[in-house]
Amino acid sequence: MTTDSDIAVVSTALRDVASGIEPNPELVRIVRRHGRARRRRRNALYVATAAVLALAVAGGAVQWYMPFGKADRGPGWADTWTGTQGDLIGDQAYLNSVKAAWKGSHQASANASRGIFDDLRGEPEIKWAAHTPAGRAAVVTQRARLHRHGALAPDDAGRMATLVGFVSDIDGRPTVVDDDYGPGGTPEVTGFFAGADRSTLIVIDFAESLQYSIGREYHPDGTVTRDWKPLPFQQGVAVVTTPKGVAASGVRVAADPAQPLAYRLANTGDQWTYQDHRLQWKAGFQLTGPDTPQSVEAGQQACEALSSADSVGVDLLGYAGFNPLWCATGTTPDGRSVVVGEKQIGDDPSYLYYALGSGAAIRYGNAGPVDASKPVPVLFALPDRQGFVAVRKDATLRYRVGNGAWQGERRNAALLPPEATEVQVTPAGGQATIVPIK
Amino acid sequence: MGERVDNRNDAAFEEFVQVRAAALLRSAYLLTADRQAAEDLLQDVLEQMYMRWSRIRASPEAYARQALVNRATNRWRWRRRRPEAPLTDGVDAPQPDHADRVASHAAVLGVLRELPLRQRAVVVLRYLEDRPEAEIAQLLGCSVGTVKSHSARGLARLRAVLVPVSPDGSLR
Repeated sequence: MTTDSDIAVVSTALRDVASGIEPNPELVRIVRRHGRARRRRRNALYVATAAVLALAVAGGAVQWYMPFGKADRGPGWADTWTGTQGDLIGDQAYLNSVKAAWKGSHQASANASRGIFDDLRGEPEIKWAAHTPAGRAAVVTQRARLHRHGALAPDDAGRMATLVGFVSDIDGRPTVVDDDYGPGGTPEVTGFFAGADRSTLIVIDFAESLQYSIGREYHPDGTVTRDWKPLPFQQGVAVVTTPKGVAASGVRVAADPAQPLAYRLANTGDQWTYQDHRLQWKAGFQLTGPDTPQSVEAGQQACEALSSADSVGVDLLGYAGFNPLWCATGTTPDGRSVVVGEKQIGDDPSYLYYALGSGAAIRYGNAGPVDASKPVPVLFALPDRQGFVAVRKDATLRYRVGNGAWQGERRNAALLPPEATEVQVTPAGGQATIVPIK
Repeated sequence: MGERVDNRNDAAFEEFVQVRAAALLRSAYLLTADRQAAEDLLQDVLEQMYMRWSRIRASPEAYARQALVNRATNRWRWRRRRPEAPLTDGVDAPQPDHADRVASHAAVLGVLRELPLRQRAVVVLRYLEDRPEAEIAQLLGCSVGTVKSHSARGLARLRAVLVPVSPDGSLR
């Protein structure tokens, strides 16, 4: 059993081991030199590809941004964002109620355990306040000195920081829906969801061209992509209403969708309460050869080809990816190895994936979402006429071709021949069901 | 004007490196369990940040941490740059007056090297940096449950080499 004492021992040991490590004093110079060389190479490539126009646009955009404030930690939008903006910025009564909401929110904040509100400096400053489709909303900041405290990362202690509060009307009253301070004293959150249903996304304009995505697209080759749209900035923010049914936790904002880095958004809801749509089989199955189920560990090990594949069922900008709880392996008629499993990202359905072949010749595929209610939850065709994968835990599987005899009886999992037209599934202690194979 | 902007960018980047490089290097060291690999890793991340500074300036810490974790958990990206160093990689040259401490360091590094990469990342983020589980889940793109599982296993492995065990099995 883990105790606080154990955690303290391990934390202390890790810090002790790392404590003697100091960066090369020349690090900045080295990085600059190499970075400039990289940039020259990149720019040369751009020029060579006649991207002169793109470069000119980028140069113009760079001139826009505001100088960083000289502070005792890295720059952040909260210090460079010139307030105050928004159509409510002249509404003193509203501004007062926002400040009151901010002051009254600290005790209930998740960041209270880090002590970030213990040494507030100056008065709160409202950076933006406006009407939105979700009602009134505002962004408030306040300086604070961070001290060593409970859950505060040690590196954050002894610094000045800019705290930020995100305010939205809830039940008609200004309410701080989230706050942030950011490691290193710099707020990392650059947008938040307003409204009780979190349907309105408000993103801070820090002179960056940003895009947003509301969800994922699953492709036959196993890849997962997102559709991106530019954020329409106006008066200091971009306000976007997401379609009904879109989970705030799945929305992402990024400057460059090609990079696995999304800006953090506040008030997205509890991302860790996803419903698990995976098949709860917890075993390893063999599609060919002996049909004895394997252990969970053996199944997960066999599924490593899928679990660790960055190109399969992975959204680099996604919260919470779930690897399969089961895995089926076998050998196809043409001698290739096949691995079948599933992956779930966030609250999306869990999708079936396969890896066919090995090494450089490995081929991945998406076999569609899992439906646990089907008599054979896993039933799909492999490419190249390598047959049909059929899996149902603790069931007996047989197939036939046309009106021929039932044959090939196996338990749990089977790789059926491409000629098979029907599969009969008989769960333990249950009735047989015939499922046509399409 | 463009040059002035570049100078501002340079100054802000330099400030960021001066303030955060040590902490980032320490994390990188435990993520890789190899001093040289950690320096390579951090330098690589900072070079990319330097090139993209105008894009990431609003949240450089988040970018740095995500990039460190991404690269550290994709071993091939840095492993090919330099072979993994032996257990005593020169960080703590043994000295007679703190031999126990050196032994402890070597044991901790040894355990870290044996942990799966993502489990190692969870241990570092959780117990070195005190990151909340939800944040670690976001960084690694996994569930909070997975983070809990990794951190518990990693903690048990490290605890075993750090906390003396009585003959009856209890910790003391």
